[in-house]
Amino acid sequence: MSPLSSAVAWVLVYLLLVAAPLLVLLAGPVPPGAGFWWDFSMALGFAGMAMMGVQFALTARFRRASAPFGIDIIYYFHRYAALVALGLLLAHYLIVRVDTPQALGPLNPLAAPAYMSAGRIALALFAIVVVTSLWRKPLRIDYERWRVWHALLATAAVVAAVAHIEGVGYYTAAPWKRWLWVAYTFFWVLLVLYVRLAKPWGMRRRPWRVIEVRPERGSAWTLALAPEGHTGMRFAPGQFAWLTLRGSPFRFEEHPFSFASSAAQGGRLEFTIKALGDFTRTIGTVQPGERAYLDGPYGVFSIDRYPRAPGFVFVAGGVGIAPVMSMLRTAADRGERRPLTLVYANDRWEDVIFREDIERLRGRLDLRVAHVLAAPPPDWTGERGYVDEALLARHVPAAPGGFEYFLCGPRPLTDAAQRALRALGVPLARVHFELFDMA
Amino acid sequence: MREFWVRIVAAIAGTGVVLLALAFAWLQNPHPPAAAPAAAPPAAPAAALVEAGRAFYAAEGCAMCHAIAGEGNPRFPLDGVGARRDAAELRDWILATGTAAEALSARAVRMKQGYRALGEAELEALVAYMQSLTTPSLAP
Repeated sequence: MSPLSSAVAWVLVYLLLVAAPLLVLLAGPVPPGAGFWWDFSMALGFAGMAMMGVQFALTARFRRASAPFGIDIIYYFHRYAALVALGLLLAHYLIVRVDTPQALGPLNPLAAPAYMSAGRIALALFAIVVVTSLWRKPLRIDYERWRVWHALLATAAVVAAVAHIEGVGYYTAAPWKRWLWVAYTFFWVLLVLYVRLAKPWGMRRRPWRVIEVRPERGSAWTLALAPEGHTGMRFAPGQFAWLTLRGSPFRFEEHPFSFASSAAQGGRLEFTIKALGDFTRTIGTVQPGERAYLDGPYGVFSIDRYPRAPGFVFVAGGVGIAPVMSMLRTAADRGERRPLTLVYANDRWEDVIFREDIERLRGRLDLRVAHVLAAPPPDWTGERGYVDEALLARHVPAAPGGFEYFLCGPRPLTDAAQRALRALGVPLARVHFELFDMA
Repeated sequence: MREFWVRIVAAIAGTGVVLLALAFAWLQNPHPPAAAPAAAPPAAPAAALVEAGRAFYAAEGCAMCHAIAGEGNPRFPLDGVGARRDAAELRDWILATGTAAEALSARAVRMKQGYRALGEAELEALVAYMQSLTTPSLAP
């Protein structure tokens, strides 16, 4: 199947999963109508729950389902879908609150029936899960802590919501419908088990060993891993994996990093990691011989997705060079003949990661390189300042028909490059970047 | 580009389920609503007893599952119930005994079994209140 048709197929699967409870509701037998607003509110409740349930599947990192889109976009969608689902659940509550407030009964959980309290708890938990995710950084919630609580609270919210549905029981009275809901809940529980147990178990059976930790320019480190007792991982250049160091894969202390090494060489893999956050600052202390675990490869940020492109343009900033480096190294190993352009932005010349390696690659590839420095040395004759339209116009090939553009770096850089390329007449569909912001 | 499609798919999913919910609500509530059964002349219960029953109904939170004159959970409206059922039947429906036990869902029977602990006076007042509800519901 082509990536496009498989993407369409998976979107349809998603829509069907989300609509399924409502279709079942429509299929009857149902209790007689209880007024338009009441029935509308109940249906919205089911719809919101169906969407919340599928949220678990979206972040289970199924490689087949995510391959046509890129896993970054699935996480991006997960955020949007959560907002829509929360909106549906709020509407479910508010319609009853306004239309028939007596049916809600007392708020006090001591006086209220348990299933009504369960509904209120579920709504509050879902709201907390969404707020702490969308505003995690302003709320200063630590990423590791957030990950654990996100999963726990979301699961608790779904359990409370299912208790509410089961307790109300009007629509789930028919035995087959009841079983359907039990099966639906069971499916979510199975997913949690798959993600939390089966997947880490698979990672544990395919361990990796750190074989080299080498300092790079710009306070970055290259970490080389070798497979232990297995054949390794086949990836496309530009892809990434979740890396677990100094811990069991069951603890979920993993971080996503792009491969920096060539995809054309089997076995050994390299990641280049800049010391930026709590975890990345410890990379330099990792010793050869340590155990590592990988979950991957993921991502669609790769020249391999465009085998017919006449050439490629890369715009990288800082450590954003890592996936680009993987693509360049792979291209060199494959004897690539197509023209390649790299616009590479940094602050200082001393901190340009892979400066020498890129120079060497120019001998093996049809590669034009433009370094852009924000704080250049006095004798610097190259580009200075930041990437903008005029700068890209000087370096991007004049007739770029059919070229594919890859952007990787800090958000201000990729945003500026996107705007500039658009102004230069590059179609949006030819500009590629990852949507990760996990720092 | 991909973010654009994400918003489209999220919007399709959101609108799709809202439309399905609207369709469900619309199909469930055909217009004009089915004609309510004709009211039979009831035996008027004592006003004081009806008042006591009304107060008890409110205090017990019966509106969480029932609606009277559009107030409360519209799933099980009680309007006109006094015209449809006599005192003995009403008692059976409140306590889930007799023929009502077969007609009610297992869950409703479980809930209503709790009312068997009610005192005779409260039950009588509640039945009297139900008997006073002879007006069929208005169209929602």
